[in-house]
Amino acid sequence: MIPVFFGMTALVFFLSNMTPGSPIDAMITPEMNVEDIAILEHKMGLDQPIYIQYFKWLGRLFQGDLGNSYRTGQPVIRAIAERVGPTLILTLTVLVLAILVGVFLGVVAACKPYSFWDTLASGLSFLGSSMPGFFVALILIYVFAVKLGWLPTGGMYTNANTHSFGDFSKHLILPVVSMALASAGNYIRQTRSAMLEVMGEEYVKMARAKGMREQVVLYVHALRNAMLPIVTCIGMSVPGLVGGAVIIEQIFGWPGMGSLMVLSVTYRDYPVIMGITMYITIAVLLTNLAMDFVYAVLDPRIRN
Amino acid sequence: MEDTVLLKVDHLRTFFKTKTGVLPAVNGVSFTLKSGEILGVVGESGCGKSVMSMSILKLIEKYGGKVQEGSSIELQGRQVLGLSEKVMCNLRGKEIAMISQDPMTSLNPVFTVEYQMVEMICRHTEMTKKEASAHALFWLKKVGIPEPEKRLKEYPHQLSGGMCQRVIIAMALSCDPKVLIADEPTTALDVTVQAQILDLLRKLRDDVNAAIILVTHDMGVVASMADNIMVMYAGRAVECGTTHQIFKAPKHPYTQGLLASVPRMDKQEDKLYAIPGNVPNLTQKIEGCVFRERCDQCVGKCAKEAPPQFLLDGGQKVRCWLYEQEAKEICDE
Amino acid sequence: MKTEKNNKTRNVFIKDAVGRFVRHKVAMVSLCILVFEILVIVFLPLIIKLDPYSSYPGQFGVAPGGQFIFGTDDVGRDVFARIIYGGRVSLSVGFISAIISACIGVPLGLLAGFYRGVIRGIIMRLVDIFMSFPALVIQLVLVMVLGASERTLTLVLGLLGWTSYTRLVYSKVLSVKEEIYVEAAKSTGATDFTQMVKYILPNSLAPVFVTFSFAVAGNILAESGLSFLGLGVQLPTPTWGNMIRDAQTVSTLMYRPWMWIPAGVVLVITVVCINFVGDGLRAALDPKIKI
Repeated sequence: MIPVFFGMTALVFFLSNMTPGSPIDAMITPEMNVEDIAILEHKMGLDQPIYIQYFKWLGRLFQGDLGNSYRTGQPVIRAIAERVGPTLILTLTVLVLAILVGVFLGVVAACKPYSFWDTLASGLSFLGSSMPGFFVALILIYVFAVKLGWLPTGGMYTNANTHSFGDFSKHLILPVVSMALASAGNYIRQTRSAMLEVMGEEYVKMARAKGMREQVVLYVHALRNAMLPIVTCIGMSVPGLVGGAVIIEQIFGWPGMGSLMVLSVTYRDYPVIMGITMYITIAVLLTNLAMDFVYAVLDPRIRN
Repeated sequence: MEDTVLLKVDHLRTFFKTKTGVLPAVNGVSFTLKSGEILGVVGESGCGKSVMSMSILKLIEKYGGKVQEGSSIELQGRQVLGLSEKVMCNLRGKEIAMISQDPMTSLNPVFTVEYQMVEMICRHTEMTKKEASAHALFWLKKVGIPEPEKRLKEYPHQLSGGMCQRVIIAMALSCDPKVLIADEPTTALDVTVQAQILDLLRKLRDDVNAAIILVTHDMGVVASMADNIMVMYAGRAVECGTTHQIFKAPKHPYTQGLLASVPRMDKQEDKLYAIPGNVPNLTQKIEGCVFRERCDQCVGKCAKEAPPQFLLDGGQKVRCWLYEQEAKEICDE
Repeated sequence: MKTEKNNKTRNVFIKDAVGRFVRHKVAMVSLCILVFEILVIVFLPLIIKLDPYSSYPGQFGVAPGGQFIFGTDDVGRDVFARIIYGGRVSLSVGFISAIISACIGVPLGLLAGFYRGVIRGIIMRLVDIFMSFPALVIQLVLVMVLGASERTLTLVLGLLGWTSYTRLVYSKVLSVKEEIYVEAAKSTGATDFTQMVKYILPNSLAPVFVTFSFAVAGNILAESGLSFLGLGVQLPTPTWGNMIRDAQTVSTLMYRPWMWIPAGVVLVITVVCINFVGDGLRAALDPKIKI
């Protein structure tokens, strides 16, 4: 965990140093000569060895200082804070929906192989992994927003006056479905194969021989053990989920960090880009930590 | 000891549909089991013993097998094969219990011993969780587990193989079943532990007067445990009799071969005897006796017609043409 | 003599695997579709005249029909021609970047599995780090730094996609390493390198092909995603992704579906077929899976 943390942050730091321009560019005036610039660099700590700069940068990070946006001049941290909420709502809803649908369909597919449910689940799973989220989004917009007019084409609310839960939900549906399809497809496949493998185990046979009802055998004995690889898969899908959010937010004009990312890339607003990347890094690391905790809860063999 | 017939199996046939054809894993097996009796079912791997056990519990369908029409399994006079799954679930564990080959994998790794035992006890009795827990503890003591209070709260991976098997035996007997099917209960255990587990089973049989079907490939195990023995080959019973009869005077060439294969301490042997050949491919129809290819005593008739089971003096049954003359009658097949 | 036996076993294994793949109907159909597609993309421009770059004067946003099978886009370019040429770009980016990833990932996996210890520690930590990053975000940053073009995109996707190979090869090497014939080679004095390349590598390779096909599909999707955002292959070079980009304007989305739907459909079909082929490979190489 710790080495991964330092590795990731070091990578982000390295990347941010690769971006053209330096923090002092804004401060250099035409009257300055080389020595003045050197003094300025020294004042900013830019002449120190790279690892010292890295730790100082980390330090500033933990104090919330991510620099200022090239585009707006505002502190990066404020721009991120404004946008975190919508992205979190979007990604968490997608995660929950995809897990519920994916795990349920996966279990059903495993218990009734080659049935209608199994075919549906497998079909959905394939579609999810093969159709890019943005294409799904466009088709959904075309069908539901444009042709049928049932749902809005984008944004988080219809206008400033309609901040109701109902209006918000209507705007949330299409983005969530676009993203959830790919994730659910993945979870269906993982759940199905994990369940199939567990269902062949001796303790499942023993549970049946004990006279436990089939539902208990499946959902208590089998699923509990299948959850381990499923949870691993969910944990590993989180980075992908974050990436998917970028494109979906862009298409739907969802005011989250993803669309801010695209905006900043277009404007070459490096501080914001690095700030978002940093934020995502920390979020992913926290997710990994949470996953480790969940494993310990699920599997007593790991607890020692 | 009462002599009631607890289990009566007649013409049991279980088959699997495979890509290469229909596989009759159990092909017409009949036997009775009386209370207090230990029936040893012996045979090589693949002879259908485990499929038979699963068929009796009506579990084989979940694993791809089908019990054929015309088979009959009567548990205390009640026809099992016609029962619904719901009723069957009530029977399993309560009237008839099973323990399996590998104790380490037969317990769910994510639940404690207590949870798995209490779950079963509460399922089949009216006890509360607390009462069930006490009952589980009682049984753990009864199977001879040291420090049972501690073990109750532990997880399967913290127990040794022998202790796991004791837990499983305790669990299987905790709801007082009349019949216990022990499917290779000692195969995965060390020899010393084997002896302990077998002693335990014998003691428990005496205590609760349950009947045990002891399935194994080990002749030594049945010699010390079983009252009666049924020798299986390729899904059929080829010889049945009391343990004394089978060991003193094995009639079927296969039984003779099995006994000859057991290494002996009192004889000098250069080479261990093994029955030549392999179990035939059962998906293909076999003309005549199914053991023909490996038999060193077969006669002309063996190739043309499959022998029925002959009943001999003393109650021994053999499925072999060699005993056609001395047979008292032909057992109904 | 041990190697001869192993070579023979391997040949039988390959024959078996090919047989199993052929029986996997869906994979075979997908493979045929893909081969047909690749043939069209490569050879059609040589047979008929296709120009994806020139604007046909006066033919802006024309619906399909007559000269233009899929109509024209806003600037008057032939959509069908752009799909064919776009296919060249999308497929080549997908394949080449997957190859680059394999060239990085497989050796790393071999090293990690063979040497264990510190080397394994470093390599697997790197895998953890790279896998934890949201791929798209790092791709965006790198593309921004290096500039967006077909070449940099291929490089970026290649440099970021090696982790799945490493993980796979690492676990395969662990099991193969314990085999007798490797021990035999070691005892006859084979160098580390020989052991790795001659004995361990060929036997660890099968799953790599499966990963490769899924990697190609994934990279094609990644490229189209980046191009869709305008941060991938730049116009006027067509790629399926940047053709779908046009749909972001409402008028194109609603009134000129021929400009983006065909590109999307071709993209989906291609990726689906590659995924099915990958599935077929996986079934073919693992005898335990029933077909």
